[in-house]
Amino acid sequence: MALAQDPDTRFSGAFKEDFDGSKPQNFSGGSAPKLFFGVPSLTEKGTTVMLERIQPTDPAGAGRGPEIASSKRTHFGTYSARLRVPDVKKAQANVGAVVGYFTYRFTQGYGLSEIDFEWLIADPRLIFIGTWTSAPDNVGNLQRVGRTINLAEGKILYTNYRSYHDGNRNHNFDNSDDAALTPRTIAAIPGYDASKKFYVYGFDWFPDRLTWWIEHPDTGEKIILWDYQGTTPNFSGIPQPPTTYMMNFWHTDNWPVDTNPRSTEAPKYPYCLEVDWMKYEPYDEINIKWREEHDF
Amino acid sequence: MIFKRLMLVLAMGAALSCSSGKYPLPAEPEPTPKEPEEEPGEEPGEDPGENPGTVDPPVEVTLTEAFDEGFDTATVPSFLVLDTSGGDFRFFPGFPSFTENGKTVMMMRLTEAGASITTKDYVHFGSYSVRMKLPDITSVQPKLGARVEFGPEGLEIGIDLASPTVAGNNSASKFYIFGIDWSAEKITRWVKATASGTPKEIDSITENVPQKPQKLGFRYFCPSGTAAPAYPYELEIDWIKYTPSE
Repeated sequence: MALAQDPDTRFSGAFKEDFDGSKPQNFSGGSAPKLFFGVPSLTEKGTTVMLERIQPTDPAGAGRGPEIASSKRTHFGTYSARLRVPDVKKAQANVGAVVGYFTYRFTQGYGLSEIDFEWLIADPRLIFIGTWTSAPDNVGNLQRVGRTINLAEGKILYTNYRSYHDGNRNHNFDNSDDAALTPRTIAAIPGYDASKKFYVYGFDWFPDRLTWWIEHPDTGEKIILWDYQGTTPNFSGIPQPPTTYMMNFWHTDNWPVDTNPRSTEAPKYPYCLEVDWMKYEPYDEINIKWREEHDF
Repeated sequence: MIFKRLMLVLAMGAALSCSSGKYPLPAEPEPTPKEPEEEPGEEPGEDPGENPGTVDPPVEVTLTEAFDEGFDTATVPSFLVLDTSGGDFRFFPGFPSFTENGKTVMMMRLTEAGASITTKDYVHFGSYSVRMKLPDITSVQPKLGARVEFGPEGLEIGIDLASPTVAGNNSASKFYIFGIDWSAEKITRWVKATASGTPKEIDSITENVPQKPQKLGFRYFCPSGTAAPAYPYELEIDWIKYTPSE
């Protein structure tokens, strides 16, 4: 896809961050007791990981727990990561905590650019994917497209959108809207549970298409979770401007998982998220062209 | 590490090794007494002469020399033995401390099987200490019966994770140093916050003090009949030290 290497030093080149050393090469974000790099995995022999440890004292809210962010901007490309969320169902069934694998950046004049893979660890069979965009000059005027999937059961719970244009009311995409609803069904991955083993997740981000996927743990096949090429009455839902590549783990006191409305408790122990690697493969030609066209 | 060989007379041990009640000793296999050598011409069963008393024949044990193990690398020294019966992911030597930035520790994770570290050989009178931090489980699983035990067998300091405060020190809040001083006449167990701090006595025993060499152990486990841990709570050992008496 990328024929020319992007010379713009504001932007990251392609990388695979293995978290093998005491500090990451491509990210920054903090240190002990919340973040540890280059440590043996606590659950998989021979694997070196980054640990993100949510703290019982972390305030509620996105970004208020352990978090890393890419040192440079990223843009259209393929993003992927191998990670395992902590298994806390026995310890604290009602914990309110979010693992976020995502991109996020608000640029004045261009708007918010956010693409999400999220897990609410109270029920790690569910995956939450989607985007947040905004008005170009006001990050508070938000727009959302999203899909929630129970991958263990092969169920798409909902695919919907909302925006500030009409008071942030949830709308389902029209059932005839193939561009917004593909695939319409997803096969179950039996036993899928993001806390029971490492999985590889990723998304392919183009200006007019955004595809979220997971590698099947047995076959390695790329299972498409959502191949979004849609639009809503007021916005497309596909972020356009450059962004920052991130991974975090935070307490939520107002976003319970769909299967447990009580799951908003602060964590009672510093549970560990394990990240084996994070990868970025930019679409250099597309990115260079976009910047030229948008005077970025 | 050079290990000494020491011949011990255990005759007095039969009288002096009785448990004080506070230090229940594990059942020991009785040493097999050597058959008295037959003098030439002596018939078996004949009176060997004057009874020498209740002195048992000597039994050889190997004693561990002094050590100060800081768990700075992923390799555990050969004089310490990690139990292998409980599966993987229980021991992480040379792991960065979750509590003190820049320090490396032995990280132990609690599983239903428990985990133990013992010396390969025996220890005897001397000073024992460990700097450790227990996990704080008082919010997440307050009725968990798990405990930590450190010391020569039968002399251990034991701390329940559900009640981590010892002599006014909350061993789940930060690292503390726990110690045992064992002589022929006395056992003193103590705790202190820093290496240069003054030890605070936990208790002291002067009656029925064990006399026999034991193995030094560190156990992190859920006693039989208690609930399994709901999460593999992490315990950190900064170092373990042993200084034998002269």
